[in-house]
Amino acid sequence: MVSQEIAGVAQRILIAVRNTIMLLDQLPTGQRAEIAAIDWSVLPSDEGKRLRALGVDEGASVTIRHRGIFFGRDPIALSIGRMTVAIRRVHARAITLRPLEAVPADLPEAAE
Amino acid sequence: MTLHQPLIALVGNPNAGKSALFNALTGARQKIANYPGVTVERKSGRFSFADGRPGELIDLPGSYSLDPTSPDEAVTRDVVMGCQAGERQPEALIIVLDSANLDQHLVFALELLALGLPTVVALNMVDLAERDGLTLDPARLAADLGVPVIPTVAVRRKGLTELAAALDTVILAKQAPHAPLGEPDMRARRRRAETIAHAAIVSQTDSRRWTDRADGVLLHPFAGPIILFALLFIIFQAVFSWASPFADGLEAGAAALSEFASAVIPEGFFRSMIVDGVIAGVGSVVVFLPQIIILFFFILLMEATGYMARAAFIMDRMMAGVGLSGRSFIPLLSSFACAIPGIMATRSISDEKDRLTTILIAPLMTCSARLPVYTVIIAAFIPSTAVGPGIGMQGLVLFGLYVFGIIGAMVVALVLRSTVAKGGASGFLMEMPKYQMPRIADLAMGLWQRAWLFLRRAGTIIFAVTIGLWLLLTYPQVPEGSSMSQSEYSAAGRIAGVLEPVVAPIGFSRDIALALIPAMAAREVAVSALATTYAIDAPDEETEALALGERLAGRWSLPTALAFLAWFVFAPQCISTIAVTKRETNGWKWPIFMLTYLFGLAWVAAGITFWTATALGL
Repeated sequence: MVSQEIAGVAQRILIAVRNTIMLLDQLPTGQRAEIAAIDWSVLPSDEGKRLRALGVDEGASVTIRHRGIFFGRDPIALSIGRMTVAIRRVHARAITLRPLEAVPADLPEAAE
Repeated sequence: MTLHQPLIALVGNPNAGKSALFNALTGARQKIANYPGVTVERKSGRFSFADGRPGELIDLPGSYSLDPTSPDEAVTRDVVMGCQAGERQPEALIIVLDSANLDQHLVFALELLALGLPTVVALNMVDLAERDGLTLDPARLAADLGVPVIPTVAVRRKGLTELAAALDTVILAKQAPHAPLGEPDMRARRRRAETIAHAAIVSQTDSRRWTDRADGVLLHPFAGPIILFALLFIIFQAVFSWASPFADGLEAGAAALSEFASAVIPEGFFRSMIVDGVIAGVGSVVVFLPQIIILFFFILLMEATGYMARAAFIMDRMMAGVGLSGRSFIPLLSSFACAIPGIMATRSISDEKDRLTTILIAPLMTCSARLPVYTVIIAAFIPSTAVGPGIGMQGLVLFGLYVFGIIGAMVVALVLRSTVAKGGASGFLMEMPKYQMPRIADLAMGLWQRAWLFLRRAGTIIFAVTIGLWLLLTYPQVPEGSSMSQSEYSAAGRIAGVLEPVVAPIGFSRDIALALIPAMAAREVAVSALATTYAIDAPDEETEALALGERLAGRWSLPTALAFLAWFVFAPQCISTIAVTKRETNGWKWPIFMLTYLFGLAWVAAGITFWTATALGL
C-alpha cells in the first residue's frame, strides 16, 4: 500500500514537473496553454519572424486542434486567437508552455 | 494630356479577402504583369470614383508586416514605402481586415497607418464574422484608428460605394491618420492591436464554429487523407477524360486552319512556315488548354474554399521525407497535367531553396504530353496479356512509368536538398484560412487569367521556338533526285548524325536521334516525327499510331523500345518548360542545370534499361 502511495506521489511530481516545462508538441490535443518561452536560436531566422508575425510569441495562449496523419503525427494545427496555424513538430519543440487549465486535482492513482 | 489617375494600393494580411475586394472594385478591368527582376505578380486594375473619375488600383501581395520574409512581402513593403522600382508611391491605401480575425490583422494595419498615407480601412467579410458569432462596432474602430472604417462583403458587392466615397474624401483632403500610431516593435503593436480589437468587439463566441467543425472531418487522421485522395482521383479523371472532346475539337480546328492556310497561301517558303511551322507547332501546345483549364478550375476552387491549406497540411509529412514541405504538393500535382503551370504555381512557396527544388523536379511528374509517346510504344511492344484480375500488362507498364517518374523526383529532391539547394530543414508555417463559399465570377476571372497567360506564352516563346525548329528541319533543302529524305538532309538531320554516337550505346538508332530533335518542342511531337521518318502517310492520328506501332515493332528491338520509354520519363524534351524555368529563376543558370541533369538521368536510365534488357535476352 505504501509503495502504491509513493508511486502516486512520484507520478504527481512528474506531472507537475512536466507541466512546468512542457513543450508545445507534447500538449494534449484540445487543451489550452500559454507560451512561456520560445527558443529563437533553434529556429531559422525567417521562421522565427513568421512565427512572431502570426502571433506565436511569449504570452500567447494556444490550443492544438489537429495533428497530421502519418507517423509522428506531424505537423500540428494550432489555434491561436481566432486563427489556425500549421507548424512542424521540430519547431513546436522550441516552444515551452505554461498550462492554463490546471491539472485535475484528483489524479487517478497509479494503475493497479 | 492624360488625366491624373491616383494610385491606390490594397494591402493587408493574407486571407483578408483582398483579391475578392480587388475583383469587386475593378471588375474585369485588370492587368497582370511582373515587377521587374522578381517573380512577383503586379495586379492592377481601373477603378472609378462615384463621379466617374478613374483611379488605378493595385492589389499588393498579402503580408504580415513590413519586415519581409519573402520576395512577395518585400514588394509590398517597397511599394507602400515608395521605393519599388517602376512604381510610384500610392496616394492612398485601402487596408483590408478580416472582421473575424481583428486582433491579428490590426497588427499589420497599425504598422501601415504609421506611414501616414491617406487611408481607408475595409472591414471585410463581416458576414462570415457574424456567421461565426461575432458582432463588431465599426464606429468604435474608426475612432481608435483615426481613419474611416467601412464594413464590406467583397463577394456580395456590399459596402463598395461607401468605400469609394470614403476614399475620395481622404484623397481630396490628403487626410493622414490623425492619431500618430507609431509603435516601436511588433510586440507593442500586438498589445495595442489586441486592446483596439477588444474594444471593437461587441460580442463573440470563443471559436470559429463552422471552420472547426469542417476541420474535424477534413483533417481527421483517417477520413482526411481518404477525402483528399478521392478528390485527387476525381481531378485526374477530369483532366484526362473531360478534356479530350475539347482537345479533339482544338485539334480539328488546327487541322482546318492549316488546310485553309494551304489553300490561300501560294506554295513556297511562307506556306510551309505557316502550316508546318506555326500552326503545327503552336497547335500542338494549345491542345493542352482544355486540360489546363480543368486543372486550374479545381486548383482555384480548392484555393477559394480554403481547402488547399488543408491538402498541404495532410501532405506535409510525406513531402518532409524528401526535404520539401506541404507547399510543394500543389505545384507537383499540377505538373501531372503540364509542368508549365506547375512551375508557375511554385511562387506560393516562401522558402527559396524549397521553391528551386520543386521547380527542378516538376518536369519529372509525368505530364500529359508524354502519354501519346507512351501509348504508341506500349501498344507496339507490350503484349496485352492479363497479369491479374482486371490488371493488364500494358496498363501496369503505364502505371510503372508514372511511379518511376515520382520515385525519380523523390530521389532527385533528396539529392538536391543536400547539394545545390542545401538549406536548413524547411519549415511549414502556414495560416489555415477559414472555409468559405467561392464566388463563381471570381473563379471564372481566375480561370480566364490563367488561360490567357498560357495562350500568351504559346503565342510568344513557343511560337518563336517552333519556327526555329521548323527552319532546322526544312533547310537546307534536299536536292531533287537525292535518295535522302528531307529530314535526313536538313540541319536537324546533320545534328542527329552528331547525336548518333552519343545515343548509340543506349540502343538508339539514327532514326530515333532524328525524332528526338523536333520532340524538343513538345514530347508528343516524337510520335509524328517518327511517323515522318518511317514515311507513314495516314489520314488521321489513330491509324497513324497503329501503323507506326506495326512499323516500329518490325524495326526496333524490345530493349530499344523499353530504353525509349525510360528516356522519356526523364528527358527534358520541352523547350517551353525550360523557358518558364528561366523566367521563374531569373536567369540561365538553373534552366541549364535542369537540362543537363535531366538529359544525364535520361541517358543513364535508358542505358540501364537497354543493357539490362539485352543481358536478360529480351
